[in-house]
Amino acid sequence: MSRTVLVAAVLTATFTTPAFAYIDPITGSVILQALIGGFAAVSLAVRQVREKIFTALGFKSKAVEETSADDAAK
Amino acid sequence: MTAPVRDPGSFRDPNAYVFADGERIVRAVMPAAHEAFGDVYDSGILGELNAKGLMIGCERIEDGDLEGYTGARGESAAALYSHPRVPFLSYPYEWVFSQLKDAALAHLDLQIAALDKGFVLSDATAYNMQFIDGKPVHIDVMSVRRYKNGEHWDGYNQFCRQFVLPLLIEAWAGVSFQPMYRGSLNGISFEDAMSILPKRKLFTSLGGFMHVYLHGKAVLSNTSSPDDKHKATAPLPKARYKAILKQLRNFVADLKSAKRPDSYWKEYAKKNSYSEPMRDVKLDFVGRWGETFKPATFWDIGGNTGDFSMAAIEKGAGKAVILDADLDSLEGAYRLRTRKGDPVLPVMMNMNDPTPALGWRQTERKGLAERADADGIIALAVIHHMVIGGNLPFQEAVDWLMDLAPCGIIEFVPKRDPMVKQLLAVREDIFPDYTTERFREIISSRATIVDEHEFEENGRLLVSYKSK
Repeated sequence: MSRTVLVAAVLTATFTTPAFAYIDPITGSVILQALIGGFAAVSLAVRQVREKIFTALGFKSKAVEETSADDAAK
Repeated sequence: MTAPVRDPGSFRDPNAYVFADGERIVRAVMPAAHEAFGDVYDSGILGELNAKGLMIGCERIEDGDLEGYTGARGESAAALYSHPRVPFLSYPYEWVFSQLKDAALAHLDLQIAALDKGFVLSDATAYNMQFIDGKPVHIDVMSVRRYKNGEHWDGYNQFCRQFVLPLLIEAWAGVSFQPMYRGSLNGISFEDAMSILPKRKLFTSLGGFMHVYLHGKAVLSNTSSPDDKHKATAPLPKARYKAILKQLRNFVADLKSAKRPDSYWKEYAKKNSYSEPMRDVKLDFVGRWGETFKPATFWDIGGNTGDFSMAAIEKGAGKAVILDADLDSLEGAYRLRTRKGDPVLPVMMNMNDPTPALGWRQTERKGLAERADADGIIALAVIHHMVIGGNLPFQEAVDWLMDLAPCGIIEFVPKRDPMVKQLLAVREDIFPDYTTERFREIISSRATIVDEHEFEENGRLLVSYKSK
């Protein structure tokens, strides 16, 4: 449910701007990178924390991605 | 000395053009990029990436004669660099899922390693990845340039269309990406991908949500606000740039083809390691051919998982390109052989409809015929698929195979063979000339038969020949 709310919020913020003119498709790709970069950084940090917890609990886990938490914190 | 000849497919990048020079490729750098690329070369980054196995080796040609190195726009070269020629150019629409996935991961590894050293790639085209000694390697050294603080990833859209979306339509929808990819050189469009991919996956996978749904909506949107230009030029922090690359890497690394479970491939070698009683005889025959002719490179047409390629290689042949239309066989060849270091390159190719030349003036991507420089071919149990399955004229089919290389083996499968009986079971036999005698005649008319073996069980005939 919370995921759906998040999706709706992001879409509302991103795609309901008034029609103005044709936009170069690549421009859309570029504009989005700040948002996606933020999501990606958070997901990497979560993944790293999860890996650390799994390792601490003695579960076999995938190699922890280096520097992701540092990057996410910047 | 003959004048350098520019590769007709090299015209898009005005900074440098590709010239073939025997076993090496010369990259003629134009004045506009001379200083910047010289700086990249002097920094040592290309050597570092090469040492990691991610970028092809590159050397500056000191005091090279620039005469004749003229660009597609009439420019004169300012400097020359060289790197080895790729033994066999293959394209993403000729790869199986695991090949495209490995190429995507290598591309991202390259970008992450470069960014750590303050460099980026100017694009993300999958065509710059080529398999050399079984590993995906980036071959366009000119793509590397200095990172500019706050810049965006220029290749993001291209990477998604040429790597991520094709992988996803097989991973999430079970649809083969190759035919669509071949029909669209720029990669799968977001419009098509979003129609094919299950909606559920776009909202339950973070990667799907970000790289397909949000990205697709942004790309396909025809609306804009007055401050879009400002948004597009707003700096992207380097940490976010790198986070996109690393998150994408994790996302791609977790993808699996929906067609077959991994366990299927573990059993695949066993399924194919025994079948016909004639198998050992065939392996010996192909081994003798490899020992006699020792072709440096050969094509194994209809090569399946490469068992017969390996029989030739073990006896002295060099490298094989396995051309086959069956994606399962090629996936098996890649997983069971190429990844383990065997010198075989699986390439998806339907012999009745080989890859054509594509792109601007049909020069950007080469057709199969333009890449025919093998020293030999083996075509085991494919001729009946071409002639009876594909209605190709018998003589044309044999001639076509023999034109590919100066020596080879062709296996003739006669009408009394169960496989041919099956092909003819539900159709009229309109192939009166499809006989063993005619096969021998065609071969003998243009080549010397070096070795042959006819199987009593089903009449199949193996012929090893050398062109006159």
